Amino acid sequence: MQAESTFDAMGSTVHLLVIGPNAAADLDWARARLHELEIRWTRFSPDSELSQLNANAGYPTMVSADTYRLVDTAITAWEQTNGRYDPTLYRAIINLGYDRTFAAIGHPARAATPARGGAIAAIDLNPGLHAITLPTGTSLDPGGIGKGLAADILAEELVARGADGAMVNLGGDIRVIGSPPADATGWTISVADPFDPDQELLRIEIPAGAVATSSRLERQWTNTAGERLHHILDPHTGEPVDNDIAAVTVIAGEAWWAEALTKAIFTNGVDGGLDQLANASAVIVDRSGHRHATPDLESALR
Amino acid sequence: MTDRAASRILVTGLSVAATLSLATAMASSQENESQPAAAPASVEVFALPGSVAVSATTQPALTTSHAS
Repeated sequence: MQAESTFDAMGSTVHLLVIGPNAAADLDWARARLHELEIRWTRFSPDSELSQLNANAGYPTMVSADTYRLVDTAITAWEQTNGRYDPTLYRAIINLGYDRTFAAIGHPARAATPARGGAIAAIDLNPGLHAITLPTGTSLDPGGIGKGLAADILAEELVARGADGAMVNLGGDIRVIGSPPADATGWTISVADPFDPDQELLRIEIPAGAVATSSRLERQWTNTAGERLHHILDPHTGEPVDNDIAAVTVIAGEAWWAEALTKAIFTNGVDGGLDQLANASAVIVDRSGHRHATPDLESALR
Repeated sequence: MTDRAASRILVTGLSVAATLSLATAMASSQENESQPAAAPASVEVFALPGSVAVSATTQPALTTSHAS
């Protein structure tokens, strides 16, 4: 038995597929669980745990196990990418005008003073109390890693509840786990061409794992000065990345890590970006439309 | 030991392995070409445990990854 649903959450389109004896009930549970994570992690509500944590910088804040895991995971991603993924660019993205949901962004003004990341190495985690202390002046915006981790959590918890297999696609951040549908030999996933989303860039089959895609061609806005900006920021400058990459897709074991790697590759540029991967596969589409893939993906390019 | 500390040790091991592999390859190249070679460089590798076996397919896709 399998159950499937598509709906909107976390500012994106969500696609869930559950295989198992209680698939329909598990699907309903997953939708509610995702809503719970969104309420805890959105930066667009002052009542979310993330907003409360940011507002309380300088003092310990007790958070749920989910939010503790989110912050711990974000710090891990920062460490493992040598800072090329940086979750403390909250003030930088706000200063660039992305201070509300993307659907409502309009044509914002850029703040007079640019902002960079915060003091991530000084964040204090107390695992016993689930307490987090952000340094004064540091605010967190986990960005896409929040969707990646949410996909991981839903997939893992669906299997823990008794599902035989699950696919969670949160706006392009995908995690698959367990048994695929009965008529399939594995989980088949398509990756859209960033220049023409109706066309395929790649089609792969994996036994389990995750896929994430980041593109500078999405979530773009024009500010009052006529500057065309996008949401992928360079941690060194706090400004939108301006290099030869248009989009990056990464396949890795877990979605949070795949998402972090897309940002790390993005800030590196085309040259050398793929050489820095181990235990992961990737394809870069540059701004001229040329494709650069790890060898294991070359036969899957469309 | 926290999970993060444990994973860091694992990643450090992978990075060291990658660096040693590069150094070995460069030393082998030096022997074959009998020419001076630059000192082995340290490669920055982003790695966590858990590789994924990827294969191309023509079967219909169950879902699509796109930037959002």
